[in-house]
Amino acid sequence: MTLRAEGPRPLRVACAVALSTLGILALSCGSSSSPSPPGACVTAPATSAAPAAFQVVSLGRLSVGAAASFTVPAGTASITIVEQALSARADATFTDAGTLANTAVPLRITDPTGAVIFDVFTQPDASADPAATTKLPLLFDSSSPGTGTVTLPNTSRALELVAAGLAPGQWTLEVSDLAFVCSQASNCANGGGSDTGVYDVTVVLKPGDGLASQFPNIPDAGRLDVTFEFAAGPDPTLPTAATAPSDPDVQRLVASLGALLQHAGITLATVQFADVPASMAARIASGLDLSDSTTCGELQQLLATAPPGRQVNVFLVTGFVDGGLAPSGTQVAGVDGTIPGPATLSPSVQSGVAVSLVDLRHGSATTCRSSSFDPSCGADAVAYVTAHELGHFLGLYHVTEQTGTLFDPLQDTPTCPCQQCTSSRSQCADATPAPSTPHTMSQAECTASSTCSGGDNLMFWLFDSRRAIGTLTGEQAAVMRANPAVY
Amino acid sequence: MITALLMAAVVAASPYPGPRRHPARAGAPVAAVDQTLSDAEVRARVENDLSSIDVPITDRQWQALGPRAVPALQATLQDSSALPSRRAAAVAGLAAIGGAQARRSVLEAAEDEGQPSAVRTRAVRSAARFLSAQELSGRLTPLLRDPVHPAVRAAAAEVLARSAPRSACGAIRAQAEREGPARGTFARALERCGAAP
Repeated sequence: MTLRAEGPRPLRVACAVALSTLGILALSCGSSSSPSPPGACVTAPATSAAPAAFQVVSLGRLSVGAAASFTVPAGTASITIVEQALSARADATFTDAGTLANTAVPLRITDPTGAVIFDVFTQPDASADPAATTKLPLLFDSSSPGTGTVTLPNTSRALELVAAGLAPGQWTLEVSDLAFVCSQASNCANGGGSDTGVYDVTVVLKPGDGLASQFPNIPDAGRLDVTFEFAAGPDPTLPTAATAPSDPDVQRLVASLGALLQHAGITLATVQFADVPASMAARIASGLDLSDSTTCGELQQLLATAPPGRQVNVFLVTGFVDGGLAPSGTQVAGVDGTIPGPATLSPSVQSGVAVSLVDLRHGSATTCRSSSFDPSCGADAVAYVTAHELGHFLGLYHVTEQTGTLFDPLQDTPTCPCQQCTSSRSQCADATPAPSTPHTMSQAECTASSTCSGGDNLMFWLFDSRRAIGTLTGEQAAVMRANPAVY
Repeated sequence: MITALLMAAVVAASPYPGPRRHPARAGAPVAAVDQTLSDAEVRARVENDLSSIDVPITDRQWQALGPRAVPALQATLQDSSALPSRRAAAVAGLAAIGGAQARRSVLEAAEDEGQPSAVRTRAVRSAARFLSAQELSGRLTPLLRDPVHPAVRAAAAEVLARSAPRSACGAIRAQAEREGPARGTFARALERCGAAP
């Protein structure tokens, strides 16, 4: 593992003019409630920094609705498609779902046999079959304006396809975003869609190892590079790139993160430290504002300050806020840019994850003295949240979502269905009549039995210091290792 | 290698099913207290809601727990062995539930220099949920000069600039000057006050 400190870097975002002249970001870039002009705030398209053994296919500049093809070699471990906006509106408005950030996602992907691998219009009905998503060749269920990524495999069915060998030959994708989907959909609000988006499209093909293991073609081990980006602002008690290499709490964070990633067979390889540009760090010193989920939002603009490279970027911030006064819905410990992230393509408005470092110093002189992972040690808690968010970046969803009615698309992950695992079934979100405030699944309920489990999984929605040990299943680990960020 | 064919007719007009895991944030009305929950269920839900990693806990979820959740939240807030992120989450819950006791705890946390910075900044922001502009001016203006936590000064400036700009912007500009190299932490507040950050 290499530890290296980096100094501040200049911003590489389209809003940099506004930033350099006014020292501000979001004010000049609009918000989710007032659509930004097309192309606002997006970065110049990043090129993939995948290792030489990977194939990177640049499909170039494509309009929504256009189709393009790429050749998949035999024995490929994973296919990653990244759409980076050159010009796109900020959101799309549906008559039922309301206004959503203009997520960039292909409309359809087909393999050389003509089989439809992905179709944005055909999401399965999880209420009819909770395991339906496990049977999909590819699941996409994320908000990802500006830069959108899909990586196959991320479902059990996809892992089977990879094991059997992804169909070699010419695959086809149709470029799209949510505004274009809206323009084609029957539930699009008047003027809520658009067919004018333009994207730079890249395909990253990760070669398989050709070995017969539990997951053929997916390597049994891999390495991951991580850059920690500090946004400490003027608080002298918080780490910076310069102090991190000798900061015991940061070192514990790095060591514990490495131990958690080992659960997936992933070794934390090159670790670097950098500082968020000073003006941005100062702006978010009292918390990163999540109120704008478009490409102009502070989170997206923060992620866009990432350095180029194949590393995954972890932005350590002082917390999260929502416009200063708004509801309490931003009291979270971490956020992912998208699921999955645009692996090997950095910087972009989705190039990384953000994690709160407010717990970093907690227990530094007490609980953190033990040599083993201790969730009551702040550095270990931050490591756990970081590993969870990296799990999202590498393609994992929550094993059981908050209400116990949605599950990840993997068959070997433990589930914790509300109707089976709580004593107050009438409070379940899927009960009839629907409760006003649905029950939320606890770690106690979800570590109770073999059929009510997953509470100790790294990708459970809660971090309970009494039960969180960060387990990962074989399929989860395979999805993570198949990601092109892992080499 | 690359074919770029414009699709003539992409799909028939079927409805887009919408995202499953990222619903649009709604400005939901205040939730009624869920009287069907037992005391044990209230405590369990408090524990859950304080432990969320990246799933936002909404005001409605906190409000549904009602006043019976307040003692557990206050206990977490005062527990110095609890992670600061949990204590800050407790502040968010107290502010959402409201009531005299909860509000008093929030205000005390905002002014308590011994609390972690994250707890205090959350409390400062939460105060705007239940104090009038005049009351905010009185309680938060002194925090513009908080001697301990720069983030508390910045949060107070942001809240005042939003809620009481007429009375507060002068003090905000003055404190921004005193911040010197850290003036950038007042950027959001200064923008609201119409000043260059």
